[in-house]
Amino acid sequence: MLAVTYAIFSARFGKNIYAYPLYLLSGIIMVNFFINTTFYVMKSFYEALPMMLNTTVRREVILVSHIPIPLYKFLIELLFCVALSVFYGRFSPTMVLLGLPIIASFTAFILGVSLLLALLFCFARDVEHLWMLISRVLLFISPIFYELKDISSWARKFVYFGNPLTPFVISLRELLMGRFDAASYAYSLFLGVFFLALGYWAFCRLEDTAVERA
Amino acid sequence: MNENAIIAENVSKHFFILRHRETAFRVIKALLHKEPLMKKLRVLHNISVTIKQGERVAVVGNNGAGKTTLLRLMAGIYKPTTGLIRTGSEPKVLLNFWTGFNNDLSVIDNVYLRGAIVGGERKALTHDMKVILEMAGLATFMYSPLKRLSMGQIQRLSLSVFLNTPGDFLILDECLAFVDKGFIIKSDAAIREKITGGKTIIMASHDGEFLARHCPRAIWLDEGRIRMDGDCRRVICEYERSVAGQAAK
Repeated sequence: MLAVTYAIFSARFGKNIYAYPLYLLSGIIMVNFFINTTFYVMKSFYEALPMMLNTTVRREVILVSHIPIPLYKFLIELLFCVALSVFYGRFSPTMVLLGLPIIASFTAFILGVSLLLALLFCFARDVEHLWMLISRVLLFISPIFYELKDISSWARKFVYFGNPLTPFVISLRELLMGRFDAASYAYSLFLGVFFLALGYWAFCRLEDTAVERA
Repeated sequence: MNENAIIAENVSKHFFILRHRETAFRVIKALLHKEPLMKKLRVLHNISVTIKQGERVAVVGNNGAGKTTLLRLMAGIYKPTTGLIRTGSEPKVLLNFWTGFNNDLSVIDNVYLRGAIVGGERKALTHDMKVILEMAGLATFMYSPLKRLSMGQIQRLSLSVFLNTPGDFLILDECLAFVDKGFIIKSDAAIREKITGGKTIIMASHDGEFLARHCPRAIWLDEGRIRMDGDCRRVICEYERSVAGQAAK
């Protein structure tokens, strides 16, 4: 996928971007991790219904247990990014230390969004199809192929503040490029905590109703 | 509360069943137009019951009488719509026998999986593995994939794991639906040994004989209400007479 995307976009968008393969790959794996995990966890509440109705295992444990496999795949893919970072001479040990909170925050963000989607899925099945459309839109409004400075100032604000994936993509990618974007970094940590708290709060309030409605 | 395992006071449970197919657009339309998307279904009506610690209670009733819903309420899986349920300790439940099993894994791996769900620790399960498999009559199948077993064998395994993991408050629903009479007779003593000794047991079944052998008290549920509560043999006798009377009509 990286090769195809690189072949298509490098001439148009990647001309002025240093280490474009690393730029592309880091964005692609982050957005993929988000989309795949939210889809996987969204249906898990419904699919694990027999377990929820017939055992006393805590429901959030059942949902959280769906996170480690996609996370593991994401971390493996991230190793390729680190290898590219080494190849371009951008790697530093500090980047690993600064990257860990971002990965934790990104996982928390994904879990929070997934909890919200899993609840919604119990109330309306077509949420799955709606989310498929929304996630495609998110893919294109994330700065994966292009840089924020290449788009209009209105679009830039929309992509940065309207799409919660953007600060995560920027902050982790900047670290892989050997740079540090403090604003995006702080914004990412805030978003991770905020979405996890929101998702868990909604889950605690609605889990009983969702189990009966699913 | 110390002496009581469960106190249920005027417990009612309603469910909402769909009037239409549920989609996001219908949900939004229903919210905007204030049209009810669901209709109410009353499953349990004003149930009041107290079960003391160490008591063994059978729950009988026709299909749809509310037995499983009552057991789920007692287990804390459902919350009552109205009324209050207080439990002394967290129960260990066996409400269906296939939950937590994986068809592609071996019998021995499934013992660990199922054991984890009912609160067993890996070390203790490894220690008790021989006893669990022997009680289920599956000692020779330990490395076979679960999909090679019959429904009855899987239920025997599920029951064996359940009875051989720690717990003083047990809730069981139709735990013998698929097992043969031979297994029931053979394991009767083992079951008696496991479920006695101060344990609180609540079990629902359509096997009146089995219930009468193990439980001194029974509750008969009829259309979501308690119709009779008392001596197990007497309640089951009345229940079976009522079922025979309905069948004769």
